[in-house]
Amino acid sequence: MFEFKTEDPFITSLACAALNPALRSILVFDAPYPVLQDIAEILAQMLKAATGQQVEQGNIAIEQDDDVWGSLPLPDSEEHSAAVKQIFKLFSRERNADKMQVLTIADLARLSLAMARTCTMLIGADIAYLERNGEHDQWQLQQCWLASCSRKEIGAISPHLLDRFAVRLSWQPIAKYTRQRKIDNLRTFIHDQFTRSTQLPIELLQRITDAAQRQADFPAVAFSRVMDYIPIESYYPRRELTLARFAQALARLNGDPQVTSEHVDEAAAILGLVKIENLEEDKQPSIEPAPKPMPVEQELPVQPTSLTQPAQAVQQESSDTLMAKTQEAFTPDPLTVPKLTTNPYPEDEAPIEREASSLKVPHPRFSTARSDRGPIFGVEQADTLQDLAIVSTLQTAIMFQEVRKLEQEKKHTLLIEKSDLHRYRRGFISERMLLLLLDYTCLQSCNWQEALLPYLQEAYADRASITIVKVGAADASYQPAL
Amino acid sequence: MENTNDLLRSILPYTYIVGQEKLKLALELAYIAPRIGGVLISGQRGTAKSTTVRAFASMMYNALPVTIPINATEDRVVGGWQINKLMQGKAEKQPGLLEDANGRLLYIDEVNLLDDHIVNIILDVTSTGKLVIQREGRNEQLDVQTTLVGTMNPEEGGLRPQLLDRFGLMAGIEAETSRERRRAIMDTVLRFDRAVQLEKQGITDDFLKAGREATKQLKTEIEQARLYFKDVELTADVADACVMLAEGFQVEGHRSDYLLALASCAYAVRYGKLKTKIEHLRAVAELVLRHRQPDAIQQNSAPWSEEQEQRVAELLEHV
Repeated sequence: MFEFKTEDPFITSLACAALNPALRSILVFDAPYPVLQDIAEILAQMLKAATGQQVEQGNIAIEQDDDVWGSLPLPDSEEHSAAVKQIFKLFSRERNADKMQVLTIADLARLSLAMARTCTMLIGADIAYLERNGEHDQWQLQQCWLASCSRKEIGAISPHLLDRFAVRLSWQPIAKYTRQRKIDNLRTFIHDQFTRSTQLPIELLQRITDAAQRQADFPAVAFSRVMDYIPIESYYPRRELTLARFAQALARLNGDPQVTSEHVDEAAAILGLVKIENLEEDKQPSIEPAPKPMPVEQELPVQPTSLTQPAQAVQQESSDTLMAKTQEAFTPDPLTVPKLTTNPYPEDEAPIEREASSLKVPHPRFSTARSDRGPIFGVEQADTLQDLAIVSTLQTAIMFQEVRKLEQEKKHTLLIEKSDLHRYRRGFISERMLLLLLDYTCLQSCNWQEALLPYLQEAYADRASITIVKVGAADASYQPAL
Repeated sequence: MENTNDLLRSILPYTYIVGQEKLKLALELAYIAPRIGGVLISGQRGTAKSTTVRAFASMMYNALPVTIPINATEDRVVGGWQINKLMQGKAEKQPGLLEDANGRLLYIDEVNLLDDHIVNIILDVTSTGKLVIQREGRNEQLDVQTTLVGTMNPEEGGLRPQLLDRFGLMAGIEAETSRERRRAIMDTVLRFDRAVQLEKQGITDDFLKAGREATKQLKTEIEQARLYFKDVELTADVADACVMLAEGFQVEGHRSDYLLALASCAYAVRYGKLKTKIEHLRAVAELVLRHRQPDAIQQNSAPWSEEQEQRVAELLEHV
C-alpha cells in the first residue's frame, strides 16, 4: 500500500467534493481512464465516510434513453405473464434509496446524445423525474459525477453541459516528459496493476467523517474574497458558488469554525482561479511553453501514473506554480510546467467545434427516401416496415397480448398490429460530399477563400462531408493552411 | 413515489430567491390570471430559473410542479394504459402529465430541448384547452386548463414561433451582477445548504422557519389577488394604450392586446388596486411584448434593452 498525503491538493479536492452534494460533479481534464477509475474508487470511499451510505460505482457508456431509464417491461415467463421482468435502469428511485452512485464518464466529448441530454437533466439537480414507458416517478438524487475530457476538445462539448460540472481539476500532462521518465512511468504503471491499492488511510477517512458533522460559518469578509476571484465578464453564479462551497468544505475539513480569506485563497489555488487583480498580468496560455531548461535548484514534476501514487509531493511552491519533488538525477529535457492557475473554464475561450443546438434531437435531413443508416439514438412509431426496431415493436405488442387474445380468442399466437410498429430514430449522416481540389501554385494572388464561401455554406447547410485534395508545383512557396 | 414532503424540503423557500423580479412577477401574474396562459423563462446558465419555478409551485400548490422531462415518452404526456395491468389482460387507463396538470402548473425544464413531436402535442392542448387522446385504442377528449411554464437556455437553440406565441409572458433572465446581490445569493445558498443538511438530521433551523413563514404570508397575498382579479376594472386609457403598444411594436394578431390588458389587471390587483393605471401597463409591457417583436422570432434570446424601454415610454406618453 502506498502512502497518501492528505495535503495533496487533488486528494483534498475530492474530499471537499465528498462533503458538499453541490460539489459532486467533477470534471478532470486530460485524465486517462485508469486514473479516472482510481479517482472513482477514492471518491467512493470518501463519500461513504462523509454520508455513511453504501456507494455503487458505474460507468456511463450508453447510447439510448431506454438503456438509461429502462424500456417497456416484459413478462417474466409465459406461465406467469402477470409478473414483470425487471428491466435494467441506470437511474431509479430504488437505486438511490439506500446507496449513492459514483458515475464515471470516460470522455465527455464522446458522450452519446441521449446521455448528454440525461446529464444536462440530472447533474446538479435535486430531483429526478422519470416519465417514460408507463412509468411515473420522482425522487431525490444521490449521485456523484466524475468525467474526463481532453482540454483540447472542450470546444466540442455543449457549454450548457459543461456548466453542470462544478469542480474542475487538471491531471498533469505527460507529453513533455523525457523518454526515460515515460519508461519509468510505464514500468510503475504495469507494476501497479498487480500491487496497487486505492485504499485510503483510516485517518483521512475519519477526518472526512468528522468534517461531515461540522459546519463552518461564512463571514462577509470571505464572501468579498470569493468575489475577488470571479471577473464580471465571465461571471456565472455557479462558478462563484463553487468557490464559496469549496472554501467552506476546506474549513470543515480543517476543523475551522469559520471560513477565512485564506480558505478562499487555498480553494481558488486548487481550482485554478486567479485573483482579478492578477489576471491581466497572468493572461498567458494555460500551459505555457518553457523553452529554457529547468534551473538546477528546481525539481521535476512527477507524473503519477495512477492515484496509487498521487502524493509524490504535489506541492504548492508559489501561488502559480505546481511543483513536485523527486530525487531523480538525470538531466531533464526542456519541459512544460503545469500551472496551478490553469484556467478551469477553457470553454470560455475555446473555438466552437460542435453543432449549433448540440443537445437537441436532430431533425431528419434526408434529401431522398428515409435513410436506414446513421447512429441510432432512439425509436419512434412507424407506419412502414422500413428500418424496423424489432425489440421495441415486440415489446409494444407483448404489452397488449393478453387483451388481444381475450378479444380474438387466439391463445398461442403473437399478435402484432400496425400500431405496434416502431422504427429507429437515427442521427444524421452525410449524404453529400464537397470535393475541393486546391492548386496552391496559383492561389497566392487571388481571393480564393471568398470564392469558396458559397460552396462551403451550401456544404454546411447540407452537412456534407468535405474532402480536400491539395496539389501544386514542387517549388510553389504558398501553401494554404486548411 | 418518494414522500412529497421529503422532496419539498429540498426546495428553497420562494421568498429567499434573490433578485429576478421580472421572473417572479411573471409567475405571480400567470397564477393570478390563469388565462395569461403561461410563462417562458429564458436566460443564461445558473440563474435560478428552475429553482424559482419549483419554489413558486411548492409555495402556491404545496407540491412540485407537474414536470415534463425532456426525454418523456408520448404515452406519459398524453396518457396511456397501466402496463402491468395490461399484461394481465386488464385494461386500466393511466392519466398522462397533461391531464395531471389540469388546474395546475405544467413545467418543462429545458423546453427548447424537448422533442418536436411532444412539443406539438403540448401546443395543441394549451391552445385549445382540449386534450384529445386517440392512441392505443383510446379515444377521448378532456378539458385541460393548465399554466405552462418553460425554462430554457438560449445557448442551446430557440423555440419555434408557434410555441413562443403560446407563452403569454416571457421573462428574460440575466445573472445578478451587483456585488450586493452576488453576496446575497452566496449567503442564501450556503445557508440553505446547511439548513437542508440539518433538516435531514431532523432539525429545522431558524433560517428555514423564517423562510417558510414568509412564504405562507406571500401565498395568502397572491391568493387574495387571484380572488379579486375578476373585480379589477380595465380603464379606458389603459385599454387604448394596450392597443397602441401592440401597434407600436408591430405585433401581429390581437393576442398581445388582450394579454397586455390581462397582465395589467393582474399587476394592479397584485399590488392591491382594483383599477388599472398606465404604470401597471408599463410594468408588464416587457413580459408581454418581448417575444412577440418581429425580430424575436429570428433570435433565440428575444432581447429587451433600453431601446425597447424607451419606445414603450414614448408610446405611452401619448395616452
